[in-house]
Amino acid sequence: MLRLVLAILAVLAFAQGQSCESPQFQVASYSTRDGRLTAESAAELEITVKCKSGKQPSTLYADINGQTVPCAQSIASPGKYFVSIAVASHKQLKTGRTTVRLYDDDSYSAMRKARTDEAVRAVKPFGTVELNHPGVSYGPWLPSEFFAVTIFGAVWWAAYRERSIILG
Amino acid sequence: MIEQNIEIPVDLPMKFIFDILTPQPHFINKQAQMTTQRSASQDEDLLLQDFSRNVTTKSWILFSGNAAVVSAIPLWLFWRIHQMDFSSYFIHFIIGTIVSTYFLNLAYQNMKFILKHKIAQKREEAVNREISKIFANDKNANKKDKDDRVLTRKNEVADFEATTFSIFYNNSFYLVCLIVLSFFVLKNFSPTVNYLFSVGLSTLVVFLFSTGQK
Repeated sequence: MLRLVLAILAVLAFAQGQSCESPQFQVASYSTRDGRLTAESAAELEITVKCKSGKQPSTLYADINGQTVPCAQSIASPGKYFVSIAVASHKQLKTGRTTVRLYDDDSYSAMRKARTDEAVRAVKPFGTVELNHPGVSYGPWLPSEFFAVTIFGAVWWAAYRERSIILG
Repeated sequence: MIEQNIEIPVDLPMKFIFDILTPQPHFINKQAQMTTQRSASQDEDLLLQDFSRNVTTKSWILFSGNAAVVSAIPLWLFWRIHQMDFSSYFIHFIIGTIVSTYFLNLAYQNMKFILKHKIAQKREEAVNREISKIFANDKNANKKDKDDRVLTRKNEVADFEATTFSIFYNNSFYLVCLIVLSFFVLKNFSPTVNYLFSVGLSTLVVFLFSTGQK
């Protein structure tokens, strides 16, 4: 009897520490903003996972831009996961909000076992976050020195006309 | 466009500076003092002052102050935009500012001398009207006093307008040359070369054009 009770308790304890329940995500995203000094775009997501109960997932996988890649972790920052993406041109990184699906070990295994696209889409992800890319900037159409020289040139031109009238 | 009116169309700060440096003559008090015994040397002094290139002390101070301020404007431009640190380039900045101030001062004086006579001709009719109104009610005044008053007043007005317009024109010309040289012509050169040549060439161009008659 005592053994049975101990076995049940052990199973319960093992089950509670097994998976993360009701995860909450906080995302900080960084992406390339300057299009004049760079030729390629890159983006990085910093995902903070807080579990209501259970332990943190040991590994997270992110489905970003059609590719599923493992997220990096830092010993100094437990609960934080990092994923980055680099593309060959600015246009390949989609502007606006992009949904990134996250998978833990169990869901990732289920996704790997799926044979069709429908089956893959049917796999429930661990969670979803958004990558916000405002887009790259190529600077103003006209540089500021153009406006400066136009304004000062107009003032000088008015002065020159007055001088011509005086001397004329 | 030159307006034929009595009031001098200048802004208050400039007029305030002139009033501080040279108190306006009190014509009503001086009228009693001006007699027919005016010496010939005073007439010569007026003529020499009118046709001389030399400027008075107050004009020189005004020109130098303006030239120094305008010459200091590029310092902010090169410090903030071209990233020239003051502690590393202070020698260049001091030399450039002093040279620019000196030649801008000369440019102001040159242009003032050229403009003054032309402005005096254009203002003559308005000044005559002003003085005639003042003398209309004074029966003791003679023609010589009136002519002296007209000449003095005309000289004052022309001097003031020529001074302010010379400063305005040369400043605008200098800044246009500086911006064009610094941000378009010399933009691919090092900051040191950019500063020295843009300030130097701008100053030179302004000075050379100030010596022209047209």
